[in-house]
Amino acid sequence: MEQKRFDGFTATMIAMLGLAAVTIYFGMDYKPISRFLPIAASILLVACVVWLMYDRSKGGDANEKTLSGEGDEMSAAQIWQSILWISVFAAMAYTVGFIFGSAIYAFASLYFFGKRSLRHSLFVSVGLGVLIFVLFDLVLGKTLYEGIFVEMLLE
Amino acid sequence: MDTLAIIASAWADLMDPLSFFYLVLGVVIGLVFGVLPGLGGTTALALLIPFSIGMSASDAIILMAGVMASTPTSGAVTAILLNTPGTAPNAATTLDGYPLAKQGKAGLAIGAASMASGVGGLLGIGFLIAMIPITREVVLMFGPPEFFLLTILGLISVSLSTGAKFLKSLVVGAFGVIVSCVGYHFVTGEVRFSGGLDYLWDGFKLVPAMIGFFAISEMINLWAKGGSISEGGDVARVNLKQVLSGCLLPFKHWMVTLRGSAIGTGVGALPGVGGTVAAFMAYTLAVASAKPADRESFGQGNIIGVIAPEASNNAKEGGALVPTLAFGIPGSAEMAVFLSVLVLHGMVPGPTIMKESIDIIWMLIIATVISGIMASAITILSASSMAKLTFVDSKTLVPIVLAFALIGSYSLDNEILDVVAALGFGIVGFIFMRLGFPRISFPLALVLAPIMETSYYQTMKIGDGSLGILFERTPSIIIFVCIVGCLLYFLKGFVFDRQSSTPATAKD
Repeated sequence: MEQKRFDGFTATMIAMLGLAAVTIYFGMDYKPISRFLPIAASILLVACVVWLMYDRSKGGDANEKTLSGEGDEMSAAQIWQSILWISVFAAMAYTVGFIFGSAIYAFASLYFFGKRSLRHSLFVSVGLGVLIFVLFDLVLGKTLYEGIFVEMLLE
Repeated sequence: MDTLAIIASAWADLMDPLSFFYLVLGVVIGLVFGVLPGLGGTTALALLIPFSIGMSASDAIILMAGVMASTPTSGAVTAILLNTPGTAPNAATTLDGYPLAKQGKAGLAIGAASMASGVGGLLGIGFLIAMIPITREVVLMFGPPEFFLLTILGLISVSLSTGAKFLKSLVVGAFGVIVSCVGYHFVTGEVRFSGGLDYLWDGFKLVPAMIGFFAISEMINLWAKGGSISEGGDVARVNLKQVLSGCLLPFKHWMVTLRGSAIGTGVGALPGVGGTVAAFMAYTLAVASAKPADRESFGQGNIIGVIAPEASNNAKEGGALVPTLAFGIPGSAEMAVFLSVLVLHGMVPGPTIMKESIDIIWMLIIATVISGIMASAITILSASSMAKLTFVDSKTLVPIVLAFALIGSYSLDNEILDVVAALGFGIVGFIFMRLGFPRISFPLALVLAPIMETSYYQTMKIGDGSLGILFERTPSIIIFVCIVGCLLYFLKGFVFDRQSSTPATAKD
């Protein structure tokens, strides 16, 4: 069974080991009451990760999946593209605010990725922006973040 | 106030127009999220947390009850019409539901499933009502040592329920505990693991973490997958006359309905085991108890194969509420999110809620009953239209859900860094999901770790700095034995028959 490649599972397990190591390293500086739980959890994490990796090296994990494993019709490129595109939303909201960010994002998703007509894309994206404004600003009375430029101007 | 007066007061509060609106809203949202495979009740609840903050505690609980009671009902629609279960527990319904739809009896199956769901839900809530006086007495016997051990038992038993994924579930649980330890300690005041960031002084917030881990991770997955949620072809036509005659079948096969409900309630009360196991257990038992001549028909369109899992699926909600409310130990990811809503509204599950907020519990019960009935009625009347929702393209669905997820993360504290945190948790949740790590342990750890830390501190205080007190009290010894039993059960499965360990439920 070809399992020796460096894949998502190994990377995740190494990240978990790193997290546990950092937690133990910094945790030792805290008082016993404060450090008990994070250090106990880190030790458990290390034990489970080591066991899982050992088990895997023996070919024992029948349930194992890879991030872009065969048979699930999702390539690594698709995954990275998806994470990137989802992150673009956060960046857009940070720049132009939630209402405009949502509308622009929805339009781009529909028009460029979904290949929908201009009319349909505009209708959904403007509708989403209006819905968010009505729901949050008018109904819930919450002023949403308006983007870094407006915030800077307000300051 | 006696129980009848409390019920009357809860009923009156529920009939307030605004409260009733929230109930209907919860039911509609639950039906939509239930019918869309991959989204489900946990995502719906996580997305609704920020909205619930501005509401009164009772309205928030009514909204959540509406969602929780209706999600499993609509999940059956796509299971029957498209062979695609809306939620994981509806998977058992596809076995006979879809063959029935192919035979032109979709209406019959939907009618039977909806009615079985409604009846199962009522029986599950009946169990919760019966358990209230008992659990009140039991929970009052518990002190910090018991709660400390109970939180450990909660995490271990939930991981154990994932079968072969026990270790993976523990990894996610330990990760959740570490995440929840970020920020100042409530006794020593030390700011832990903040990395010098002011944002982390209060630790990671529950709402962005939950929204990220469940809603955003699903959106990443959906976008990467592309297309529409359901790849199925035409939706079978649903004949209303057939639906109505199907509604009578759970009563005709009353023993199947009753048995399925009993299994659902019992299994639901066990932390972590959840609806999928309950539904398949009910289905298996229905096959086993059928006449030998009838057994052949299962898997080819036997209506009993629809009634049994659907009754158990909805009955589990009542059962799952018992450990959640009485001990603060959520039995599922959905219950963990619900628990966080209770906590955010200042209600502490356990002895306090059982003593001081019994009116809220009754309101939850009544809201769940009404929601269940309402969900069944709406499903019966609009099954075909509901199934068509699954054809919505991911390019349309993702921006809409994502907008509400990220705005929800932000709006709680008007903090833009909460959006970044939600996104980060979304990516982590997605990685865990793709690698087959059961995500259920994460919300559980987030909710249980603070209780664990508090009860650990109190136990050490009571025991003069020693944990020996854990072995001096009968309830704590019993819980400790259960923890050891769980670990031995895992080791037995690992060492002797790891291939035949408990069926993996991997509830997400």
